[in-house]
This record gives sequence, structure tokens and C-alpha cells, in this order.
Amino acid sequence: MPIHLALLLLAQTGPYSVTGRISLDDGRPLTNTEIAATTNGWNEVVDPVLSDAQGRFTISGLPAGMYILSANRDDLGSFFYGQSPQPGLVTGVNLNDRFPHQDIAFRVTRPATITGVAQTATGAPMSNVQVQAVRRAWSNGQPTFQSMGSYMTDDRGHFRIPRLWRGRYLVCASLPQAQPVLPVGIARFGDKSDAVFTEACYPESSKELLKLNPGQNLDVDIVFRPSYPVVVSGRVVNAAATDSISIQLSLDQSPLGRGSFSMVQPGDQSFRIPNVLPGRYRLTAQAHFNGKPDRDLPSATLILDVADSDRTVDITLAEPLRITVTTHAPPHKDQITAGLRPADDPGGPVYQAESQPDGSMLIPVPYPGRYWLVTRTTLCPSGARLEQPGTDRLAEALNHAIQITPGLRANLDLTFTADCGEIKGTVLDSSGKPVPRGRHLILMTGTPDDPGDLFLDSADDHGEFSYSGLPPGKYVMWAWPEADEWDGVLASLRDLAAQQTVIDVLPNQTATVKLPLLRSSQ
Amino acid sequence: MRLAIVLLIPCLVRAQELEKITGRVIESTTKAPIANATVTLQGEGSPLLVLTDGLGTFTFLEVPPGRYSLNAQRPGYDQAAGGNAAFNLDSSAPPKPFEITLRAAPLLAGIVTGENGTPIPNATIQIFRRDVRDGEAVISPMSYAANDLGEYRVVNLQPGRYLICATASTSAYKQHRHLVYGLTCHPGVSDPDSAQWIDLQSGAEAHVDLRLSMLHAIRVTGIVRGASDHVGLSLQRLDRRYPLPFIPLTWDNKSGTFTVPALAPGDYILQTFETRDGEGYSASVIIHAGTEDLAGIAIDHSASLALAGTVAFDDEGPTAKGRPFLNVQGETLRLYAPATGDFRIAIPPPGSYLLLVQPPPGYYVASATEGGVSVLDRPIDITADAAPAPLEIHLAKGGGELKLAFARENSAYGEPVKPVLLRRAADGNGYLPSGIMLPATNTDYSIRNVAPGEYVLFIVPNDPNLEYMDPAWLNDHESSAIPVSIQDGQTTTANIKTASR
Repeated sequence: MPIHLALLLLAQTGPYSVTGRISLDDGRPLTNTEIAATTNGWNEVVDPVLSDAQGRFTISGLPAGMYILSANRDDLGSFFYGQSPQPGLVTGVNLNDRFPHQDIAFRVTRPATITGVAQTATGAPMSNVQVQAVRRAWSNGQPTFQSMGSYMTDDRGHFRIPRLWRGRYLVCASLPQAQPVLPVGIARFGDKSDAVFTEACYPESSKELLKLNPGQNLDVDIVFRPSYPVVVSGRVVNAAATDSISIQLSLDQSPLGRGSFSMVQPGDQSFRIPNVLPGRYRLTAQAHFNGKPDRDLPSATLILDVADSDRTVDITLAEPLRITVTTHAPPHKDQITAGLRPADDPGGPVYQAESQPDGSMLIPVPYPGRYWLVTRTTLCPSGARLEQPGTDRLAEALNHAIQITPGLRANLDLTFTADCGEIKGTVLDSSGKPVPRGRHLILMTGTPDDPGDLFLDSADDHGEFSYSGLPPGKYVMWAWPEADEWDGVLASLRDLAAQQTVIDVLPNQTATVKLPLLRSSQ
Repeated sequence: MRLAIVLLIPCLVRAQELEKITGRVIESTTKAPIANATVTLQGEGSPLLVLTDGLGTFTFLEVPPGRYSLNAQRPGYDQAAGGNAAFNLDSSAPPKPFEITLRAAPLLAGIVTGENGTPIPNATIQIFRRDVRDGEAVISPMSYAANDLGEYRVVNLQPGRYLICATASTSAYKQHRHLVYGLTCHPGVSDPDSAQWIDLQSGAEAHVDLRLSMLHAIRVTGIVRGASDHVGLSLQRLDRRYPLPFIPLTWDNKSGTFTVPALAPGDYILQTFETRDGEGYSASVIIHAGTEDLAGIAIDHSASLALAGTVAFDDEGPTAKGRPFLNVQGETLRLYAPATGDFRIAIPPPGSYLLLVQPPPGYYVASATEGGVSVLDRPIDITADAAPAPLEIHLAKGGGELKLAFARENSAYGEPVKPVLLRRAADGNGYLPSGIMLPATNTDYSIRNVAPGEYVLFIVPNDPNLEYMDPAWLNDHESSAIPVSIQDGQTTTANIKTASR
């Protein structure tokens, strides 16, 4: 048996190899670092190696395949080659007859740490509270919050969240349920306060995020302040009397997420939702059929700002918005995704088209307004029209925002072509050197004044990037270093118009571009 | 004017009735004030809560007369004697300021480093507490994780005696070079039996740093025959008193091959486990890890061993249905027998186990045998290579009743005690190992469905740390114990006198 296993091990080795240099983000070599290559299935094929005094390493004897390279040093922890801030995403190294040897630059971004204390405004420690570090990130071309680590505070309210990527963060502590705010020192019998503690963040406004640099150790105090729950009540106007209506109140774009529900019973079109904490909410009413929500029945959504007093609001049901999607495309392998994003919120959610049981595609647009079309495909959109069946009304939807009116029933007719162009480029600094993992933003549609479909990505280790599936036309781009996040750029596209790089894309051709960093970021 | 008087009188009456309750929360040993403690005043209605201020003081204003209790709590502190108070609030005798004492819980902290003094991130702290459970000494393991700096901090421990150990996972590079962190216990020993127990009393702050040594490890490879998607594989120390939190192994349950990349010297048990149709299946092999790699270790899961048996009633059994099932809890096998039927569990790790049968209401355990030999008066020995003979459990309806009557002095009961009913062994020497532990009390009560036989009722002081099941203790106290004879269908009364309060 031992011989068999040894033979098996030998049989798995091969003639391919990976060499490279491992260094910190500031360029210093990482010496005495353990480097291991594992297969996609996390199996080791050969022994891990140690990097030398220059950070160089060689792993040889590998059979053909895709490998995950990891590095480990006791004082730094473990890292993966091509590790993304998005948990679980790494870049593999492919070895085959065409590429029998790969030489890589394994750059390790020094992890940062956030420590601190969670306490009340009166200085009482908040123990056993879950603290999360949430990082503003991009996912599939749109911004989002990602939880990068969490910690349960100790008896002193202390927390420590290590191994964080650089970036912009909110550090939020949350209680599993609202905790009454107790008076300090003196309590009066019969006095009753509605004040509760629920969650607290640092910084206290999610508009001002905490900037965390590589290797930085930030100490922050999270201060719980009393919240006063209020009642949100009101009426559902135009409600059908024959079935129930669900009312949903959920926090709009909360990094931690919280919400509450209430149900309106038949014959009673009023609703009352107690214990609502201040914040911006999305209030949705949806008519039901046979006790289940039915998107074909009237619905309504409105944004509701809840402050520190009870709110009364009427919500008027309207015939549901029904935006279907039809596509016309040449044969293709990859999926086409299409969605609509509110034009007034470039960083907001994209409502993606969903398949329906009858095979149709429907975009669940929640409320009327102005929207931009957002598509993701390796083909390129060559036409987009919003058609209202039974009418001759058409709206151009590819390079213009479309207006979704209350109760609109329309079809978004999308045409794709394979006659696309592509952009290949390199992010360069002021001295003309490539900027590894340089961030860049391409405006697919719209203008800096009124951004439409925008896409943010990072260059590779050599500062290079590419976009395919681009309809012929003019595109504008911006780039900035990896360490800077998107927030400032997105908020000031209009101000950055003078620094934009314009690229002409022709059908079936590759446009090459040298994309300079924004001047303010150099 | 008349109207003003009418309004004024109720106000005066109300003001006279309401009282102020004040107090302070302090630490029991240092007498230092405790800030931010939550003080709860509980009357008939909802509790009233307040946080102590920086001086540890609190005040409740305008409290109406009535019966109240007062207590305080704060993370990191335990209730001490004087930690709560019950009192009548009466306007004729306003209460004096209360002093509530809390005990600072023991705090254990330290840092885990490697041989060169470098902190080991995310090391595992394995703490063993010496406990007494049902009168017998047991060791309870607890695991904590150090942070990325190798620092650990454990609060809210119960006062007691502790062994402090640590271990850590090793990187793939070190594993390939046959290096692994073994279990290291304070003060730097690898054998927990040689380690130093630390007495942690209330308020104690112990700082225990642990320096882990690299041990030469071996690689263990082998195969599980009869493996399937539902079969698991685990590896643990054979000495179950001091388990390790996790021993890494990789295994492919399709091919059945497994690898333990780096195993420190010692004795281990490698075990398969599977639950199928409510029955357990397990096979195991003992691994003696020395200095040489081990290859070709084989476990045949298809020939898994089981602890199996049958439950039978002397009548048609209870009306409630349910399959009998057996649980392993430490060194005890607990059999729950809601109805007649067969049971089968995966064979537990080797060792001596006590069988405890939980009959349904109205029944008692008439007999429990393994291969025809009673296992009520001896433990069941489990080995890795052979299953015990099937267990046969017979439950009978009825049994006798034991009434415990506590003497009163001047209408008052004495100190609460913990009665323990032990059945005499059939040969008259010693007792059956599974005693009936009764709740600590000092008031009369009865227990029913006691198996007929000869018993001795020990009156044990209500001390949670007393190892009263120690044969020496039982021998020393047998003269003051009460012989009890239980007859089927009859009530026997034991008269108990306890110390005056």
C-alpha cells in the first residue's frame, strides 16, 4: 500500500513549473515565506517551498493544470496569488504545453486591522455585541457593501478585526434585538422610556467611510446612541377588498440590513407598523391572490424617511409595472443579462431581468421614475427600444434614460450583434509606468453629467485591462490607483470630465489605450 | 379654596407612600465600586432597571410599598453572597442604603508563541476544568481561539481548578517537513497529566503564556473500505480526558483514501461514522504514532461495529410510541426507552461506559444484561475490534415508592441536603454504580417507580464540589446513611433530620 501511494504521487508530478518573486505592496521582498501550489480541488501535488532573501521561489515538478498559489508567514498570515478583496476569489496559474513555465509577481497587500471599543454615550461598555467591518466594494459593475470580518466584543466592549483589505469601511456593531436604554444612577418608578439601542457605526454616517490603508491599524470607538422607535401607519388606497395585501417596510441600502413586516387583512385597508427605527425605508404594498403576493396585481413602492416621530402615510396601489424584455442576438455561448438602474442613483441597485415560468423575461422595476439600461454580455447591444403594446409609442433606450410611468406595461426590445469592438489598455502613472491593479471606470452609456451604464474594474498585475462586446462608438474612461476607492470618482464625474480619456471603438477592431491616472490621485 | 384642598390631600398621601431606594454595588473582595452594573428592582409588575454610576451607586425614586427583590449583574462578575436582596418596602420604615456585592469572575489571559517567541496567530487554547458531576470528578474541556497576535482572554470562568493548554495548526510547508505543534500545557509540558493545575478563585487574574514546541510528526495514510458519501471520518486522541479540538486530515470518501499530513506522537483512534435510517454505524482503528510514517492503515466501514440491543416491557408497554435510542455522553451511555423495540448506535470510542436507562413514566428497570450478564452493577467495556454482545433491557411496570420525610424543628426545616439513593450490589459488597441522585432540598417529597431491592440512602451535604461517589466517602458515611428496602407496590418512608439553619 505505501508503494502504491508513492507511485501515485510520482505519477501526478510533471515537467511544468512556476517561478516568481513575492513582495509586499510597497515592493519589499518577502523572505522565508512558505509558498504552496494546490490544484483547484485544494490537493497538493508537490512540496511547498520557501522564498529566498530576494523573495524568489521556484515550484517545479507540476503536471499540467490550473494551480492556486498560497503564501504563509507566521507574522503575516496566509495569502493567495491574485487574491481579490471579494472573499473566495483568487486568480489561478495555468500550466500546459503552451505555457509550461510561468513567472509571476506575487504581491502581498499588507493586511490592516481595526480595533476599538463599543460603548454607550455614557461610557458603558457594550459586551457580546457583533461588530462587522463592511467594505464598500463593486460587484458586477455596481457598488455594494461586503462584510470583510467580524468580532464579538469582550466583557470590556473591546473588539479587534484583523486581516482587512485596504479600502473604505464602515465598522458597525449590532445587537440581535433592540436593547432598552437604561438610566444611569437614578431611575424613577413609573417612568418609561422607549429609547433603545440597536446598532451603531463608525463613522456614524455611511456617506463618510473610513479609509484603511495597507498595514494600517485603526482604533475607533463605536458609540451606541439611543434610538426612539416610532409607529408607521397609514392606509392603502385603491386596495382590492377581496384579498389581503402585504406591506413591507425595509431599510433602503443598509450595510447591515434590517426590516419589518405587516399584513393588511381583507376589508381593512389600514396598516400599523410599530417599533420602526429612524432611517430611509422602502415601503412596498402588494396585492395578494389566494393569500400569495402576485406581481400581476396592483402594487406600489415609495421611499419613506422615518425620523423620531410617528409617521402616517397613504400608499396608493397602481396597476403593476410590467416591463418585459425580448432579445435578438446571433448565436452565442454566454448569458445576456439586462437590467434597469434608477438614473438618479448611479451607485444604486440594478434591477435585473428575471426568467418567468412562461419563459418570458421580466424586470421587477419597483417604482416609476427615470432609468438607465444596464447590459452585461460578450456580444454588444446595437439597439434598445421601449415599446408599449397596442400603441405606436417607442422610446430609444440604448443611449438615453427611459421614463417609467405609473402602471406602465411595456416591452424592452434589445438587439445584440457580434460586430463588436474591444478596448485593450494599460493604466499608466505620470512617469509612464504601468499601475498594477489600477482601477478604471468606463462609461458605456450616458455622459459624465448623467452617467448611464458604467462599469468599474481593476487592471491586472501588469496594469493591463480589456473590454470586449462594445458597440462601436465613443467611450470615456478614467483611472486611479488601487488604493483609492470609487466613491470620490463617482461623485465627481462631472468635475472630472476634463480628465477623461476618449476612445473610439470600431466594429471588429481593438482600440488600444494608455489610460493615465487622474491627476489628483498621483 | 375647597377645590384646592380636595386636590392637595391625595397628593400628600401619595407623597408619603412612595419611598426612595438607594444603594451601591461593590466587588466582594476589594470592596471597589462597580460602575455600569445593571441593577434590577423586581416588584409585582415589570422590573425597574438602572445602571450604576461611576461610584457604583444607584437610586430608585418614588417606589410604592410592596414586596421587592433587588439584584445586580455585570459581564465579568458573578453573583456573590449578598448579591441579591428580598425585602418589604414599608413607608413606616424606609430602607437603609443597600450594598450589593458581586464577585469578579476569574480572568485568564496570555499569549501563545512559538519556540522563537513569535506569536502564533489563531492558536487554540484548550482549557480543562476539574468539575464534580453527580458526585464524581470529571474533566470538562473548553476551547477558545487566540487572536491574530496570539493573545487570548477568557472571562466568565467559574472559580475552580484549571489546566491551561494550547495547540495550533501548522502550515502545509511545516507539515511536509514533518513538523507539527503538539499540545503544550502550563508550565510547558506536553503531557496533561504532568501539567500544573491552576486554582482560579473569584477576582483572580491569571496570565499564562504558552510557548509551543514543534514536534516531529508522522504522516499517516490509508483507506476506508466501504466508504460512501454519507460516511464521515474523524481522528481523536485515545485518551478522551484531554481531547484536541481538531486534528486535520484529508479524505476522499469516493476512493476511501485518507491522509493525516502531520500527526504528533501519541495514541489516537481513527473512526468512521454514519447514521442510516436512524441507526448508527462505525468502525475504528487505533493508531500508535511514533517516529515512522504509517501507510496502509485500513478501516472496513462495511464491517462496522455497533452497540445494539432490545428494549422489552413486562406488559404491552406505554401507549406513547417512539424508537428506543442510545446516546453517548462522556463515559455514560444513556438509553431512552419510550417503547418496545431494537436499537443500534455506532460503537463509541474504546473505554468503560456506565449504562443509564431512562424508562418511560410508570416503569422501572427490571434488568439490563449484556450476553446474559447484568450491566447494572458493572461498566460495559468497549474495545475497537469487537462489539459487545447485544444489550437486553427489561422494563417492568410499577415498582415501589420512596417517601423522604424531613424533620422540622420549631416548624423550620434544616439545611438543604442532597439525598442519594444507592442500590446494594447483589453480593452485598458495595453499590450499583448508577445511583439515583435526588434534588437538593429540605422538604418532603416522594419518588415513584423505584426498582424493588435493598438500598442505602446517603444524606450528602449540598456541596457541589463534594465527590461523594468516591468509595472512600461512601464507606466513611455509611454508618449515618439510612437503609431502605423497596417493595413492589409499597411505600417506604425515610425520615431525615438535617442540621438546623
